Amino acid sequence: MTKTLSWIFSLLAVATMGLLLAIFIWQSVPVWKHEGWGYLLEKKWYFRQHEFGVLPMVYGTLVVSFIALVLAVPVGWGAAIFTSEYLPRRLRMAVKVLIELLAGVPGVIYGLLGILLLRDWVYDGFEKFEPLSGDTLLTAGILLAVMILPTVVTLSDDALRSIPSAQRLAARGLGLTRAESILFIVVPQARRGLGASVLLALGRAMGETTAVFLVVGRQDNNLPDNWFSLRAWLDSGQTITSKLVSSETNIAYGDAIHWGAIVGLGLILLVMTGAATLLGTAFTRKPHA
Amino acid sequence: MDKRPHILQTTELCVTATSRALVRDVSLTIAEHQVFGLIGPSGAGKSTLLRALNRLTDLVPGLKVTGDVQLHGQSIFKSGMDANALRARVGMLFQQPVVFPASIVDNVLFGARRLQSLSKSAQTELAESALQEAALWSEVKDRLKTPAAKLSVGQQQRLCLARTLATKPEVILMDEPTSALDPRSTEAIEALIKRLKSRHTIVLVTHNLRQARNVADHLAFIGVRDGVGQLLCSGSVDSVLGRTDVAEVDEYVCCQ
Repeated sequence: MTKTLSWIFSLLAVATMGLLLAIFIWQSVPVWKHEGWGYLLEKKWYFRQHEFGVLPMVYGTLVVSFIALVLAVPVGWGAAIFTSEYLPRRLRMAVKVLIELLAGVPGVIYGLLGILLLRDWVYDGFEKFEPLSGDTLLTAGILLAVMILPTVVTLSDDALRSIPSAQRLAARGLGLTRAESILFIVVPQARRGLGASVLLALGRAMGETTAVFLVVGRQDNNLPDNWFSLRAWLDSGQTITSKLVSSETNIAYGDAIHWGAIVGLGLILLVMTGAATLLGTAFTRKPHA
Repeated sequence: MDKRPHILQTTELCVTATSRALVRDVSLTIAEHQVFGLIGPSGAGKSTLLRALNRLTDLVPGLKVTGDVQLHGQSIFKSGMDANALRARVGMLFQQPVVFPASIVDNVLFGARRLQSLSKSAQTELAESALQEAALWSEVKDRLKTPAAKLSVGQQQRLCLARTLATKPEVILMDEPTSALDPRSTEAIEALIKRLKSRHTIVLVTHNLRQARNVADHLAFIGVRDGVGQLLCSGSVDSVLGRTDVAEVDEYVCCQ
């Protein structure tokens, strides 16, 4: 009975996901027919001319997520080592609750804070490179870093805590210092969980919408010739989510190709976040070698 | 009285948790190159006492140790004493074997590598001698690079012993090292303990009177009085186990 039910519900979950993907694929068919691979690979988004290429937005999403990870992961891992290995149990719980509260703050609040604090700071701080405004990919990346930090910290903390204390005790019993036992015993064993925290945070970063929308500048067709140019981070840009949440989405609905282009963006985002999340989950499941 | 020099000495050693005393007023002298057995009922604080001897008690928040432990006449609690270095000199073998998720040879060298930088050849040599000393060499010499977790529990326990031996400890504290093992592995460990005392001093917590009789040179009985673990008597094995005037000992010996 339980087995049958769990099968039914698992199938239901898979079917829902499948249906979702199917709808998105079906709805985006017109743009694939219209643009072919150019939809994915070209830098052009002129909806009045019916030209749709999403590359700058994929680039924008990847860049802001990358900046967010670069900033949040080291800090998050460090904080997790502190909460899990150094804080006494009670204090650790209190800190974790606070951090999880932070994770629950709505994105728009972070967005407002970004406008209030971050935008001017980036504009002034990087004056030397002459940014046109404070609304840049970098601003969005920094803001995202703050937003995904709680995810990195709590997941990493759980990963570190899951290493049996007998391992720590055995290491200390051999004469290793606390730092050595963390570095050589705890962290290596928790590496899968630590990696998973990065991937799951990446999934969150790529999907985060409102906060990014408010500070990224929403400039279409901004793609540097060199993808790895750092200067380009100080330009305004567009991410998949900031595009989708804009009013263009409402306009697009009347036009099959335009609408297809919008839904296609949703599909790409779904695949990107889904891949990160699935990979992150698979990462934690695999047993130790 | 034992004529051999004392290596470890505790004076009025007390261990207190936040709410209650665990062990009170234990004064013991442990001579070099002998197996010193600690026996007594569960919960009497034998393991706690053992862990105070290399300051593993420091790692438990809320535990307070008063009184003194002296190693070669020097207090291990004095300021300037490096507790980590102390733990390399006074090694520990736990009840359950705790192998690290690494290869056999990496497990053996784990502690030693942190303590000193060793050349490749010195490492190989040290790994072999430690494994020889722990009577594991012949069983693993062809598969030193395989994960330690693949070994049987009995082998894992000997691997843990080898890992401790590789840090060249003077004293090895053993906390019921055979209670998780089958009879054959137990026998192997007991034979080892008897051999190891020629070069090390061993403090052994055991529940097993047969084991105590078999390997210990000296016994101390830790019993519970007034809800606190205390040293009730100590001496040679026969004299302790033969005590009929201490009710707790009498009861403990009868029940086994």
